[in-house]
Amino acid sequence: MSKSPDILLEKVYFSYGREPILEDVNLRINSGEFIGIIGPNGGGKTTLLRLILGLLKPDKGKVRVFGRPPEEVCHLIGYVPQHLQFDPAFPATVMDIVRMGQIGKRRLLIRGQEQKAAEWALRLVELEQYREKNFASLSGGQRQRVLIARALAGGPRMLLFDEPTANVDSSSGQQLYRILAELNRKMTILVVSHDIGFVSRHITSVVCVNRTVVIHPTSSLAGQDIIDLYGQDLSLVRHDHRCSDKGHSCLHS
Amino acid sequence: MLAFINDLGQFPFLRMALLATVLASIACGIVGSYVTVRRSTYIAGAIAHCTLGGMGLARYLQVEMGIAWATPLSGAILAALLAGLLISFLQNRPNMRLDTVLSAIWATGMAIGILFISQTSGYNEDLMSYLFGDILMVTRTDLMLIAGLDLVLIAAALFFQRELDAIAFDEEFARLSGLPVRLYDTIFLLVVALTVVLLVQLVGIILVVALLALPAAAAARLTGRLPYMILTSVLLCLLAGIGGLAISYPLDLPAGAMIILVAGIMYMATACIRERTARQA
Repeated sequence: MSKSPDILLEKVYFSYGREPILEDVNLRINSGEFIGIIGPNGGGKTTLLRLILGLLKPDKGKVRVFGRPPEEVCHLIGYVPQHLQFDPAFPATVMDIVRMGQIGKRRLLIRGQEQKAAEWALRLVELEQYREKNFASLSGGQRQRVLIARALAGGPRMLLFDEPTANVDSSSGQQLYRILAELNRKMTILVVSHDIGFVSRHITSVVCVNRTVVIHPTSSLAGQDIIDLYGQDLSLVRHDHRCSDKGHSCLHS
Repeated sequence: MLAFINDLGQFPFLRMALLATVLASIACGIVGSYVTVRRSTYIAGAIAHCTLGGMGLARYLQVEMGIAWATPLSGAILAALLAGLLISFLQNRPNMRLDTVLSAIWATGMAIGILFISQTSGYNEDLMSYLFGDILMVTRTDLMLIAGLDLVLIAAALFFQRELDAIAFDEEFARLSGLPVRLYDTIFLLVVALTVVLLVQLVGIILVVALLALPAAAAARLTGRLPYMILTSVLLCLLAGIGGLAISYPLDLPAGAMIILVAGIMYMATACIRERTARQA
């Protein structure tokens, strides 16, 4: 038997009421991969993410993370939510927020190590000089990096990232993916995005989500697929193109 | 002002009112800060207003039915805890609109209260004191209860500060970190309910939300971290409470309303300070 994959979904079905969101999803993500999860709005990206995090239960099928049910291991997943949902006036310093990534994990980190881990995480996202600044005073891109540091401070084995480039300018986006590529040497990374153009140089596989799930090694995915995926008809998706070095552009309508 | 200080030495009821203000400020600053950063002042409002139902029912049972233990305070506590549990149960249901739930609790509670009060002799004085409170009528029992609540709140704020902050900032992340967020939320709502009830005795149903929200909002403008915000908020509550009492007493004005007015002025003043420093920066 090979080592169990970091994420395993077998015949997973999920619906909200009568409306099916995901059907017959089979997914296997191995340790060390850098996965881009793409698909149209309402296609089930967020649902897939929430199933992996154990925030939702599938109607049918099996979800395993590190070989365990997700709710048992969700503290090992570093989750980076969309930064737009936060109260921009929340009274806390950057360091306060990063340290929030360590609550509930006192079993994993000895007290003295907590501060060190938090500082390491801040250095990694290139924000150590901002540690005493107010979270409210940061730019969108900086806030997002604070949230990455918060996820890293808890010592996760995997990073899950929801819409990292939403409302972040392109130079911040590039810096972000440079940091993620660096982190990918140590841990598995999943990025949910409608904007795959940014990611493609670093990712190992793309997972296309639109009711069903299709996995492409990056080398077999073409820009046309993505454009098609976002089009009206799922059956138009083609899987026979080569991708270019520059990656895919997503003409998101 | 001088008359206030003079009478303070003379009248025990005034000293009681002052002590009540000090004790209430502690509870108000701590709970008000969390209510504000969690954006749940509307929850506090709903709980406050529905206590009228509990007070009205209890007063009716006491006066008309001769049930001695049914004091308005015990009725209010019961109604507030009930509302707190109901909100905590309903707010996690999918497809539930929290604002609708709160409006329903808010209005239904008041309606029940008004119906019972209308059937109780002494209609007007009761209603007025419930709605607007009377800090000069505060009893020894009230003081003991507020002091007890203060102790619990201080302990909770000290021991669970990081957890409370993390949940206030990002509930979902806290849940993923393995915190029992639902449990924290339910306890939080019950604590808010108790605080609201005790503050209602001082400033009344209508004004209690302002006392929770205004000093905390002013403190948020002056500070950048939650622990400092809480401390500042306690101080501002104290300032508004003592200031309101000292101004209203010699003029024979309602103390609760004056306290809120001072808090409102402080809130607007911090907005101006913030505006000026922002322009200078």
